[in-house]
Amino acid sequence: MRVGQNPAKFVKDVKKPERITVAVLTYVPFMSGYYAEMVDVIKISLASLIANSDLPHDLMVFDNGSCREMQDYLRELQDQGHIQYLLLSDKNLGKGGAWNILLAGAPGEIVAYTDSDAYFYPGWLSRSVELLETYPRVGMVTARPFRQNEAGNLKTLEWANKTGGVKVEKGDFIGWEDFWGFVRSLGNSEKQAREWFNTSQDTRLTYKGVSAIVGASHWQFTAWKKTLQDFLPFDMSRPMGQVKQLDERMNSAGYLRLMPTEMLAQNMSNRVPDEYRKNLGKVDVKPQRRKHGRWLDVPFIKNRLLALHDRIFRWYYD
Amino acid sequence: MTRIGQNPAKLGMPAYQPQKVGLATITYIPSVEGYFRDSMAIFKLMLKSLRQNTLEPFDLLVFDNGSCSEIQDELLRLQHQGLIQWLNLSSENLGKTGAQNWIFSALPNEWIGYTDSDVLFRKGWLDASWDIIDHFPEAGMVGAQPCYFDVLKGQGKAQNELKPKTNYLISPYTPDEWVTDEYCRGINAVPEQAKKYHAMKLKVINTEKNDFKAILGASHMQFLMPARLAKSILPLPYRSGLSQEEDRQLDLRIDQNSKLHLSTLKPHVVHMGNVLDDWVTDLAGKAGINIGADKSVYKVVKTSSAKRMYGLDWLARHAATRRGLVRLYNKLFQVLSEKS
Repeated sequence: MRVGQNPAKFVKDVKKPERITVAVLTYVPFMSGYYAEMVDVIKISLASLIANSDLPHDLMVFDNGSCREMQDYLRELQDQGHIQYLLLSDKNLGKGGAWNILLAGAPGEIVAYTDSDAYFYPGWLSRSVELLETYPRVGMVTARPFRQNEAGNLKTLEWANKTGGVKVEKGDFIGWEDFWGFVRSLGNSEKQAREWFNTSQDTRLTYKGVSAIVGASHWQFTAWKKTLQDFLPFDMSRPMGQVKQLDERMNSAGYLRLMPTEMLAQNMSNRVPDEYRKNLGKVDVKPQRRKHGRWLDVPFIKNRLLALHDRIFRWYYD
Repeated sequence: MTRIGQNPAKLGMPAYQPQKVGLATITYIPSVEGYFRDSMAIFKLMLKSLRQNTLEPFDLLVFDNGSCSEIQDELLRLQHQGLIQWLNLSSENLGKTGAQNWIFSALPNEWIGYTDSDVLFRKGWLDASWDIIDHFPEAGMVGAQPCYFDVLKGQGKAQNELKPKTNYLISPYTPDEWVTDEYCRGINAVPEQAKKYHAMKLKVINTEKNDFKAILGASHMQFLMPARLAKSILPLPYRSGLSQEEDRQLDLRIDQNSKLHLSTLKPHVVHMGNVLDDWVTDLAGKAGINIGADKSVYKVVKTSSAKRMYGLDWLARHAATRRGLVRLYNKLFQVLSEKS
């Protein structure tokens, strides 16, 4: 039976979610083969998010049924105060299935989603939000420019060409190094990449003084939650492959797909890139500070306070 | 930074498909002392009764609203045993309604069932809920225990829309004495309150065609509702840890969608409360769960023990000190439930 009053009834102001939810999807079923370095990749990715997300946000991680080592690390990050919502699934729902829960459940007005193999540079979040808020009817913003076929961005181009006040430029706005850096991460050869680089162009827009490259992708995007809701739920029949529909459907529905002009995120794929490998020993992020200081971590003090709390409960409610 | 090999997850392996019903509960156990001393044991009873007495497959989501580490570790162990499909560990207490906003928007199942974490499930509870849903297409929120409160006080839009329909009859109803006794015991009603409950006349609705009956009203403690309806009423405004006014918003929005609150005539679920006493042990036994056979499963994890404080015991007997100590109790609760 109920004895006493639930102290939660006396909590008059609970925490409200931040305006932005940074949402990450992790999946490392075992630590060998394709996934041999994935835990390290994810550690670097999350450390970069924690260090370089420059607007107030909640970090939400959906783990799609990973091995214990991965889950233990995520718990550790949450204990340190870096992850606000850690959602652990006992089975792999596939990427679409995980999105159905993660993107639908993200409490922020703005959702910044990323696969767990992306590295983020300072300013990525504020720049993504700037594009989202400056341009009308933005569907998704990916935090780095890379070259894409025009077919997937026809509605963005159509809007730019018919809207007054939009400057449209064609040219090579992504340098070879940035172009190659991304294309290489997808497993392409340098020869293929050179050929593509030499035979294609970027489209740069400037609207209300803010420049953007046309394009975006499902591996990382910032979007309005209300816009994403129009595209949920996703087909969940297979673990991967369905999520590309988001790119096509956003374009078909007439939403803009944009990227900043500078590289603020990098795809690492499933191996720790050489340039980040040297940081591996430094990814253990520092715990956030308690509101009431660290004195509560002293077992002697905490146990005495708990005992006093329990004693008062017994006096009046037990 | 090159992708090496092909992600095995892309090889066409089937992904897990959610069940028709997704059940969700919220845990909030910031310490294993005081009010929360038996909370984990009670939660485990709830879980066991749910698993044992639900006769069709379902997914279970547990939203932990910022419990202490011992409890979160225990929840993880239960997930590793396959008892919980989705475990959401929140670093802060979002309150019941804040957590429900998350649950209702995120659960991917066609039907959403919510239960407080101190509810005992009896065999057949889900079938009894489906029976109501099958007989009343207007059902929005269906509880498996008779509801003693019409939260809409007879003014519900959905109820008023029923009045011109001749295929339903609404009449007063008195639950069996044992039903009311059990309800009163669960909430630890004092004798005067119990007397009021026994004197209450509930409203029952029955279908004229086959005389199927359900009680008008459903409790926030446990209910089943269509996911589409749950998603359409979001976000629910919230501010507090637990608030009847916030619960009322849920009722009003369901009613505004012309959907009825209905519950079963017999209690297929029971509120256990926060103390694992003989009464709860007996209830569990009758529901097919023998606590005595495996007491260790229900053992409560304790980090510290409450020792007697003789001087304060004496002081606490004085009414003048009570107010101050209760204030201290609430302040301690706030500080101790803060997470790093």
